[in-house]
Amino acid sequence: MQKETKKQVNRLRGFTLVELILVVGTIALVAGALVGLISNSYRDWTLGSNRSTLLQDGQAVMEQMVRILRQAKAVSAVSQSTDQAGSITFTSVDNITEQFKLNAQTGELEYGPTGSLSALTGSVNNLVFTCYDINGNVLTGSVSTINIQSVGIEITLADGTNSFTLPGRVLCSTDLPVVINEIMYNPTGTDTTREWVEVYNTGATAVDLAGWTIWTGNPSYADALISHLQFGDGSTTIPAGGYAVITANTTTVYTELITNGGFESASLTAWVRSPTGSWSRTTGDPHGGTRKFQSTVSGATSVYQQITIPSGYTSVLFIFWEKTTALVAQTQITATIRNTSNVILATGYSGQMSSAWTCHTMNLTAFAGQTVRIYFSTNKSTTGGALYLDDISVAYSYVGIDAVRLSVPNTTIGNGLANTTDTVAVVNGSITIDSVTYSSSWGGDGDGTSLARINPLGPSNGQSNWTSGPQNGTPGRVN
Amino acid sequence: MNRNHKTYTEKRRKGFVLVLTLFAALILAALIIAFTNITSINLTLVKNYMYSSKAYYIAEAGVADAINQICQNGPLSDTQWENTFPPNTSDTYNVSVSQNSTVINSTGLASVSNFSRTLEVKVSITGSSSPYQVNISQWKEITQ
Repeated sequence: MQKETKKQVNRLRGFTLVELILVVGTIALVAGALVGLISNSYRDWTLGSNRSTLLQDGQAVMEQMVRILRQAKAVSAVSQSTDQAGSITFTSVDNITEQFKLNAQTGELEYGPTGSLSALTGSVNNLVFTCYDINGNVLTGSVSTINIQSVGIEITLADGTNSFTLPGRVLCSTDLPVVINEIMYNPTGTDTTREWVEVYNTGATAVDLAGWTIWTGNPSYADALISHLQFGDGSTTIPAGGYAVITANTTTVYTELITNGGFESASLTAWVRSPTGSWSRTTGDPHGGTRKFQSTVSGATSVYQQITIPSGYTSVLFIFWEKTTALVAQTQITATIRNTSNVILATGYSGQMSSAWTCHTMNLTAFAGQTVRIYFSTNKSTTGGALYLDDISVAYSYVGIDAVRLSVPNTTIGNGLANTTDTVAVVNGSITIDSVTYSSSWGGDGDGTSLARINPLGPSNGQSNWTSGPQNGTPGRVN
Repeated sequence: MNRNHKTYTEKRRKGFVLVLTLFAALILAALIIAFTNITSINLTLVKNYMYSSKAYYIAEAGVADAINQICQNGPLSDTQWENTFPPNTSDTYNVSVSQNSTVINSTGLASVSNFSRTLEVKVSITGSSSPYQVNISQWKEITQ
């Protein structure tokens, strides 16, 4: 009995301290290991989940960029910067100027019409564009968009712990929005120096035709397009929705109304001067040719020429160049249009004269059918230098007043367009921007009319999109 | 007899609890290890998918390069070239053009992981002068 009781006591006794420490220590070790495992797993799970989200965002945005840029009609600007300022501007398939741009402040990739961008995705750390030329070489420095054949994209997404880069490359459309829009291949009478071709920029951004060529009949005989000698301001850029009229450089595309506007002739009877003899033709430092008009008379002087502007023309342009040899504030010039009673109808320019040859222009189309005076009033300070005028012109034309005029040095355009059938092509580098193989059966065949494209966005080849234009055509204007 | 039976039952109960506790601990540990493995595999999967996607885009860039060459030069004789893409990285695409430029094979290689993916693109070429028109008739991924 006593033995039994002792056994029971033994069985009921507690644990020793050593036992407890061992048990608690073991449990702590196991729990610690498990907590570590769970903690690592949770961290990996979060990492994977975030990385997956980033990757999906990156893929979605890359595919959207590639799709939109593939459809774009033309790239108009690319920032190839390797910092966070990467951007690309382009004409969309809907003729809207759109942009992809990284907003460095918010880390958002933005897209939309320029000036109205909205965020596509955030967490973008870097956006880099690389431009490639026609041979697949990387274009560096200041890139002319005309030379861009494809664009590489690198988009880096990051969220603090994850960071990865997706690359892409898009072939850009070489279908620049410039089309051959009207052809005068068989004007009435002789064709020599009277043929012309009009091209039209259907896009939303300006296109510079510098370095472009045009050929007719045979691509081996392509001529460079250069700024036209007449009315030329040196520009070869067609603004959005604008026109360029291409002629031979010997083609007269306007008729001059001013007599002896360059003062190359000794006869100054067309110019009425006050005081008489205040203005005279002199040599030295002319704007063009060998002579200029000069006045050294202090105080007020005037000179005018009376002309009659015919009606029925779409473009009448007044141009003059002025300069003073020593500029003082009081030396002023005013160019006005007056009627035969000297009543001012319009003012072309009024202000200080310039210390270098400076051109001023005015559209006189509104005065068609009227007799007017091209009237210059000057006021020379006694301390100021001599006053110069040169290359004064009022010319009328059937070419639109805002059209860019381009010419070719040879007679490719001028008398080179065949009257039965021929091919005209406008080329940038080795890329044919547009070409048309016309036939006399399409229209514009020797009756004074042009061959006019019906829909600029329609097909270039095929009779269905071409018809006869009006008499003399509509060069530099809408068909 | 009764006491002996009681002692035996107590002993059995004590053993049962121990086994149950050990079993539960084992299950818990197994679950935690499984979860750890799953998260680890998931992380690897995402990483692989990332490099795989990158390799695909690089292969696409190779196709774009080939189409550009054909657009400018017309049908090429059977040829092969390798370029880094993007420039100044160690990622590359390897392009081969065959069958009178009607078949383009492009393999993109993401160098970090050595992931590669290959695209086979069949095209037809029209036009008699640059730019030739290249129409894609088939675009598929192939295994090498």
